Amino acid sequence: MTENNLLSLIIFAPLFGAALNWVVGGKLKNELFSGAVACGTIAVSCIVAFYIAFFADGGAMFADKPTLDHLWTWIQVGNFRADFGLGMDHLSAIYACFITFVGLLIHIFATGYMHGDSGFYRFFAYLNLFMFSMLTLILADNFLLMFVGWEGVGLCSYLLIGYYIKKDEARVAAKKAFVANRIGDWGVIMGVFLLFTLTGSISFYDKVVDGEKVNSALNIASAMSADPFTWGAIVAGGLTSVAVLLFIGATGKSAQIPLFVWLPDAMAGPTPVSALIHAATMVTAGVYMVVRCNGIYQNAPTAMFIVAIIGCATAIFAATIGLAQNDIKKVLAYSTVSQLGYMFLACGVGAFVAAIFHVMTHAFFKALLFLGSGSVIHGMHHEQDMRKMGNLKKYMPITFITMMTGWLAICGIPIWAGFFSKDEILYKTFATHASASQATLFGQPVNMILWVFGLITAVMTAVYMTRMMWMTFFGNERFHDEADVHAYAEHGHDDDHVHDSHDDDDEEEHHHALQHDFKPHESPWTMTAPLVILAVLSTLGGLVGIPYAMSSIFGAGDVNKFEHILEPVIAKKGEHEAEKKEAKHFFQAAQPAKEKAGEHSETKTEKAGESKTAEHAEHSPEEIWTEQKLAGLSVLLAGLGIFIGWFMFKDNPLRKMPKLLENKWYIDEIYNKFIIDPITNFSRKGLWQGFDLGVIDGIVHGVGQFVTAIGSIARSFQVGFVRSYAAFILLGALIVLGYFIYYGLKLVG
Amino acid sequence: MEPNLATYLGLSGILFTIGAVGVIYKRNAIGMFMCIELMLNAVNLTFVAFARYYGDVTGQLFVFMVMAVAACEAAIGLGIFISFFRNKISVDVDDASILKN
Amino acid sequence: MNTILLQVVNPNVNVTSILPEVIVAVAGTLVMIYDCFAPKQKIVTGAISLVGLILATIALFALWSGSYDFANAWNGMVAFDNLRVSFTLVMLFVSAMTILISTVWTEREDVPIGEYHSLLLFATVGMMFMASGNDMVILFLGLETLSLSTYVMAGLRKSDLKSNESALKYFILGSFASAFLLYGMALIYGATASTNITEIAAKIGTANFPALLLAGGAMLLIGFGFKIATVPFHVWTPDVYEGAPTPVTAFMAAGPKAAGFASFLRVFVLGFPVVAGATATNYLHGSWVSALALMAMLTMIVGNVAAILQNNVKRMLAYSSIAHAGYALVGFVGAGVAKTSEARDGAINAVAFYLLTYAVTNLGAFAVVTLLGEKNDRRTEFEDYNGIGFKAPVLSFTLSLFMLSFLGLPLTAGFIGKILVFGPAIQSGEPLLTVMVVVAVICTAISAYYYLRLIVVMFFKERLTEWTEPKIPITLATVLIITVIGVFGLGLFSDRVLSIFKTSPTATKAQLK
Repeated sequence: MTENNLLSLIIFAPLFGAALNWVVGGKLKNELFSGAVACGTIAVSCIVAFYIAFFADGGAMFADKPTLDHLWTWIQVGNFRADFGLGMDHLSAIYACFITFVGLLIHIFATGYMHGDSGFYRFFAYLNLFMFSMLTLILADNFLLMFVGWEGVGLCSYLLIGYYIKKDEARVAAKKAFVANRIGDWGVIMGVFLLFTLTGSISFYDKVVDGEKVNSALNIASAMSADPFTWGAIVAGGLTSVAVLLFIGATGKSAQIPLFVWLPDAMAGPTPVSALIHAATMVTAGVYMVVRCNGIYQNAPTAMFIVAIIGCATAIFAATIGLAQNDIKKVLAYSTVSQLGYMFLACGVGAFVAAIFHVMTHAFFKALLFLGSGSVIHGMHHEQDMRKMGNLKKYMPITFITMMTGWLAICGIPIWAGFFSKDEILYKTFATHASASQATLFGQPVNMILWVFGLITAVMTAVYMTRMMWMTFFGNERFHDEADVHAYAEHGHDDDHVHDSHDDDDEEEHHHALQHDFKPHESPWTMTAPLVILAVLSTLGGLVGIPYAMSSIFGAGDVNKFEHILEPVIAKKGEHEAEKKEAKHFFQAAQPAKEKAGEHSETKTEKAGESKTAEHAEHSPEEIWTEQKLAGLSVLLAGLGIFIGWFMFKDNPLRKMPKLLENKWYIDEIYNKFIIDPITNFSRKGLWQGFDLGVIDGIVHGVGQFVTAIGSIARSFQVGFVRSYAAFILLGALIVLGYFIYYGLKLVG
Repeated sequence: MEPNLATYLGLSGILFTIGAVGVIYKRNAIGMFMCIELMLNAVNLTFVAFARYYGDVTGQLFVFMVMAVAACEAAIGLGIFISFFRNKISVDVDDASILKN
Repeated sequence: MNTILLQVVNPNVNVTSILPEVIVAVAGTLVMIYDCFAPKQKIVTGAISLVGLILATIALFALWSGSYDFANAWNGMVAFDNLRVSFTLVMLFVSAMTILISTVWTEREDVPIGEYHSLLLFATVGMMFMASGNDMVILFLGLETLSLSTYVMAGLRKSDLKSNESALKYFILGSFASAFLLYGMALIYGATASTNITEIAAKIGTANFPALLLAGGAMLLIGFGFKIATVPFHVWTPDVYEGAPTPVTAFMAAGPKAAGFASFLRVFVLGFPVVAGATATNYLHGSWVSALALMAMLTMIVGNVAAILQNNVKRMLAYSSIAHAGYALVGFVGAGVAKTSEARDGAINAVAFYLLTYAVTNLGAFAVVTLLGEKNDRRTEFEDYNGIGFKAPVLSFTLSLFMLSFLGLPLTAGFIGKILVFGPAIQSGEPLLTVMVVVAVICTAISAYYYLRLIVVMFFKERLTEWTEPKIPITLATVLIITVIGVFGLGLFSDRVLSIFKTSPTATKAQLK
């Protein structure tokens, strides 16, 4: 156990920044000050996180044991113990590094994006507070402190979605987000309680505090025998119940069916917020929790099954909706939901490492896409409707090129980050030995069906992303034709955004003209630099995962002997970061690791899907060949998706433009009529309006009405007359007396 | 019939019930308060009956305390009724119904 | 044959053991006397009261850290255990804060300040005896001292009809419930021939009239249930809390509720334990635990859902106080089913801690409500809070913080409080108790609606009328600082406070057996 007090600096630096911005920044109202404080404190976090992860005491990412920082004992009653302690192991090291780094970039971007906003200091105070909560969430060394962060990010998300307090849409969205999250929180807290009753601990790690030994709840849980794979296990109060309850929390935070509804609405917040909270960091907290608890999930096959099904269903469902959206941020929002579905699919089939890998690459490319869209929106004077864009590549070359890399990454084109992680998930779904492969549907193992849906989703992802890129950056300049006076007036002023050009906002010609002189001024390096860095990461970030299937295994084998089942999953992540340095080492270690993996599967460790991978990666060349074939297939499908998207939207990004309609091919008409229209209509009318708005919102409102009805009953007792109250009390007294006398009668008879 | 413990307990139970029903039945604040006093006295009867049954003085002491408290309650109760009466010119408790729901 | 045997004992008069109570009572008397000679004063009585309360706190700590033997003080009528110290601390805190909050009100409306302070101090004495009494006589006297003072305090705004009505309702229903409580005491006395809680606990297994135990237990449950406002005995709460002057409401929601819990815990948890082989006693135990568990669920549900529909902030907080009594009851039931005396004391401490967190949050919230209420509490509707968010940032942000603490957001006091009271119930593993905790958590989720509503109203609603931020007087600022520190302090460093609560003098342990 390594102690490192620097760990607390990671979380407290942003908290200090938030306080400083709130107290001093509110008085100064100086953008330079607020921006510098916010970015500076995140930079401190970032540097410390990287230092501890890679260098301090050999680097938390490579160490056998987590680096801990016990601040104080928070609660201790009986055997219930929660510390205010932080811990960084391999999993949280990865998270801490990418969150602080991406967070820093987004903070820098935001200084440009929010320029001129009257609540500049407030925005950055919230943003810093969010970083504090998020880092607390991932660095907490026990469930309760994690829950602190969990609630904290929910609160900050609420504050930031509702940042434009004068917009009704923003207020409603903020409330919706909070309510959906509260439902999820209920699941988390119940799950933690239940876990405590089962294991007697809520700590993540084995540790010694004040001379007292604290056992890891996760280790205890993973050492328990696995629950049976039955529906009954869900309500049996065992590990499956814990896993399902925690997953309810994850569906709320990570926007899965049925609680995903808040995320698309959350786009009412400022774009940097969407990038940071609703794409890169907070929404992946659910994945983090599931992976953190993989010891529990592996003993809960039913829960794994549910996670896989929900993840896959969300992935494809959100993708179909994404096809029909016109708001650029809505497209990205549904895309985020869909990608999160992929991550849960990975968790559900036991590919926890792949899930985390996808979390990381997704953080890069989705943050990039969101920031790019932010740049576009900024350039377009807060116009988010893609129908009013087009040919922006001419005006925003940097944004265009960087977003192209994000597009390639999300579509899954080799070399770019998304390819490796998405392909890993699809392959693991295909080859899984988890519970999903044990159940069958239509005579096929369920995992095959999930895999097919995953592939279809991949195609659709490519289609809608291509559509988005096309509508935004290619084709005709529709803002030129469309820029209607009122449309701009509406959007331009609502947000309190003060632009240099506010005088002639309403004038279409000027507006267009502004695009030329506007860009050089208004997309300063603070906005484009993060884009470029993220573009590089989206391109190269996946390379750390290339030899993943092979090399990382050996490292896992090395670490494995000291750690429990949970650790290989995480240790491996750490190792493949290290693999660049120690590439040789892996090949040397290959032989013993192979044996080790063999031993483990003999004993009982085959649950750790990773050592499994280890085996086929090394032992059976035919499986490697299968993986390669499948990889080829997904590249083909991605290409197909891009082609479809290009083919369908190349000339006809929108149908209502007669000029474009004239030029289009006849086959487009057929496509439109027989394929696109039914699909878009179905996804818009059927899924979006019917299911999303009708069913889900209906349930939410229904619950509300039910509660209100009970409330009115309770209220109707309060008639205001003393005598009625006395009668009510007397009635209650009689019931209580009767209840006791009922017991008394048992005594007599 | 020689009264025994059960008789006293039965009587006090009846008195207590009459008092409790009276609180609901009476609209006049003073009347309500009288009914509450009746309930307290029913309790006193129980205490005394048990004290005598056990030959223990504690129950009787308790009764003294209850009587003292009842006297204080009477004083304060009347004060509250009077201040209500000053504003509303009524001691009908059903007139006190602004606060509801 | 009918001679009453006077038991001649040497009375053990030990004033030291009730020194904190005596100090507060003396301070109350001083205030009253001083007020006779200088009725116009503004601050002297407040200062005397505060000094008295602080001295009492010091005395309390001195008693507990010293090695006194109070095992037989006042012939066992006074308890000396962690229940007493923890709850007494809560009460002293509540009273001191109430005095500070009240300054706004007393100055604004020209309240007879000496009377008010002496009443408050006497109420505090009553509360303290409710925590320290180990004999039903003491508990009853403490309860009545408290009740009689609060009846008057509720009606202190003499010319306001709402205040009159509040006092009237409180008085009638309060005395009504007292009668039930008293009847319960009489029946328990009849069954066990004792009024001393320790003796009752010892004799309960061999009670003379086992059936009377059940009836008595039911009656006591009704009486105490009224004091702490559990459903179905909660009906008085919203009306009384709404009508009473806001500082008094703050006091009533925090102080008497804690005192009620103290006595309730002492009588039921310590007085009615499980006795092996005694059927009636175990029926009593089983019935009160299950009855309270059901009442706790009802209380949480009714309190929370009714609060959603309120348009008056004070009334909303009244329903919220009902709901919070329900949460505290969860810990109470947990204490009831505890298997070991350590677990039981832990659960009792958890309830005390919960009530402390509630008191801190509640007093802070009411401090803001008092200030914003203006004369005669005219401005207590939700719409009066429209859009004040950024106009009065200090008030609105502290109020938001208190709402979040009520809600139980992590890092705040309310969160730890909830975790602590739910803990014992969930650890017992009994199905009914588990259901109770599930209900509690669901209710917490429901409560988000109305707590957040106030925040939404303050920050996101437009204000149509002119409004200027009221000046925050120094006393109120003190309260706000203390409560904000309290909310975070209890949320982060609960361990320190609990270790104080845990302190239990060795002498008492023997007495509690």
